[in-house]
Amino acid sequence: MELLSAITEFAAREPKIYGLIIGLVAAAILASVINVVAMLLVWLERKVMGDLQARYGPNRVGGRWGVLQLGADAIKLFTKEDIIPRGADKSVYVWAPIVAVATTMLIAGALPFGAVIIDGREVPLVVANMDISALYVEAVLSLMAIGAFMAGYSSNNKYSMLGAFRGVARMIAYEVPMGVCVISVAVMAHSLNLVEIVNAQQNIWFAVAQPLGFVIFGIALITDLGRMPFDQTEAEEEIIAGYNTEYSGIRFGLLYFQEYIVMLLGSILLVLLFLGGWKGPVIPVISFISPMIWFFMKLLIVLVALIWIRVSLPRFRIDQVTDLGWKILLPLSLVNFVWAVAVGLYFA
Amino acid sequence: MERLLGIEPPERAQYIRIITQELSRIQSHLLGTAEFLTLIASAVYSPFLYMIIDREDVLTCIESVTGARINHSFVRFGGVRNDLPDGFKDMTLDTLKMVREKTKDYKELFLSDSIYRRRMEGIGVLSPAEAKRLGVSGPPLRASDTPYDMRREDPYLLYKDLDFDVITRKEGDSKARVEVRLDEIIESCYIIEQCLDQIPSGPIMAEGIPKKIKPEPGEAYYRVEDHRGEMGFFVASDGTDKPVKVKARGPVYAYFQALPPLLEGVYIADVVAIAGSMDACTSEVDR
Repeated sequence: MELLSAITEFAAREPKIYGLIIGLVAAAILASVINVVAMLLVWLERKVMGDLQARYGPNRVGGRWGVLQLGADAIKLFTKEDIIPRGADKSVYVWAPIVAVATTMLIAGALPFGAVIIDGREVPLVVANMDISALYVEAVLSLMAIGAFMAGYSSNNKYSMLGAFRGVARMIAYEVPMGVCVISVAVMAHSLNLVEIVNAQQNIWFAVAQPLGFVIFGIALITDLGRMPFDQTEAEEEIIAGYNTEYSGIRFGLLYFQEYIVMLLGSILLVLLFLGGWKGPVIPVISFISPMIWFFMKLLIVLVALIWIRVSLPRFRIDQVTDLGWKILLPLSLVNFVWAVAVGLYFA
Repeated sequence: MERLLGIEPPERAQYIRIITQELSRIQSHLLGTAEFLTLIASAVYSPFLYMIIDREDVLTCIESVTGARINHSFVRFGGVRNDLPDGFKDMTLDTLKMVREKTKDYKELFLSDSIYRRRMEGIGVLSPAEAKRLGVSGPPLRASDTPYDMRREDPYLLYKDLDFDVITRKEGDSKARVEVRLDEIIESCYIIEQCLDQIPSGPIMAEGIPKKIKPEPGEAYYRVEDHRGEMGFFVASDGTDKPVKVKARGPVYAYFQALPPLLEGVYIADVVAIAGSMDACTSEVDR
């Protein structure tokens, strides 16, 4: 109690420093939680992929289920030689993985990770609950291409460069329909705040209210995550490993890991925008965390769906990807926008 | 070699040779298609692994006869080394039934997959004239609307007694090449089933093959339809027990001759779609 009162006193005396400290602590906790969950996600992906393909997947390290496989992989990546190729733009090359992970982590700050019920009131778990969080997340998602482009550009390798080009072309083609979808959702929810958007889905999910937007956003999201069938940036059969061809050791580890962090955060965004976030019937006995349970169940379904899509579709060609983005998804997303405005006005 | 020696292997041995050859054609086409899929999709594309699993059953059949999975050097001058084991017929018929059903599924899957079709249709079109000029044979040639199959053109073993179609496609693109392979799997199943029905009992080695083989001076050339195309063996003898010259003409070398004109001015992603659909085994190029 003494400690608590001391903290309150400090907060009253130095509100700015207090805010800074709290923010840093929250950011540290958030970053570590996300990293652990993303690691579990790598494990989940390998396991689910194994099941879908009549294989075992990881089954040695950490008991029958191979849970610690990722730990072993991480140790291997840490101890491997870190090679910087001759002729590489050294500082850009070194900073690229860090920029990639950092820009990704920026998303996490504004995303609510579910909610808990305290005294019959929902408290969303979000670090920075800003008014325009949906717009912010959307903007930072497009920043991610910069890390990949830095990596590809600085490697002094034609395949890396091709991968980087593809990444940027794809990002430009898909950020636009994706943004229009986010705006359509915001129009219906009368807010750009992600918590408000979730609250607006109390009665009906936006996936039901605007199915077209849901599909477009889903496709654009897979593209942004760089997963099959849109993994042209690192199509190993065509351009070796794309933008991360030259990377090794822990730098490669960071770039690789970044993809899974984005996958996690992107799926959370999809759940928040279209699948009603943490909304769901209250589960009686454990009502305290029932929103969390709903949230994670939806998240898990989205993640498994992403893995399923990955193992069952061939890869598009890059010109077909940009064609799809500009010629099909963009007009359709505008149609969806009109629909959202019309329906929004009708019910308003 | 047998042509040079003037030996005719017994009928049963010839049937066994056909059966093993068609079985390895099935396994080769399954693997070729599977590997091709990893090229246009990725290494985690599921049908790739499903095909590998199917192929495993076919390999088990081959192994039960020859004792080896892929490189079964079990053909002898004048016959074969092993007879078919007990229960071979049932096991093989079961496997063939499975392979046939699965292959139909794969064909349907590829027809219904719009991404696959966008990647494959009209890509790497090889015209019949061009294919012949470059010496391409096997499935890529037949995909270019040319019914050229050694089993039909120059029947060896007992292929002239067997009923089968030479699969062709009009388009000559990557998609057609894969379809020809898948159809040939089904056709091979049919050939093996006929062989299993017709196979007579009898010896599996011709009589009177000497321990040390000294053919008369002369030359012989023998062509077979390999999984990948026309495969020729040339042997020249000067009457001793060592040949003067042995030359194997593999089909894949010609595939690579066809690639430069096909690959001119295409997208990088199409390179794998074209080269992969040829099913060119790189180690076979250099003989």
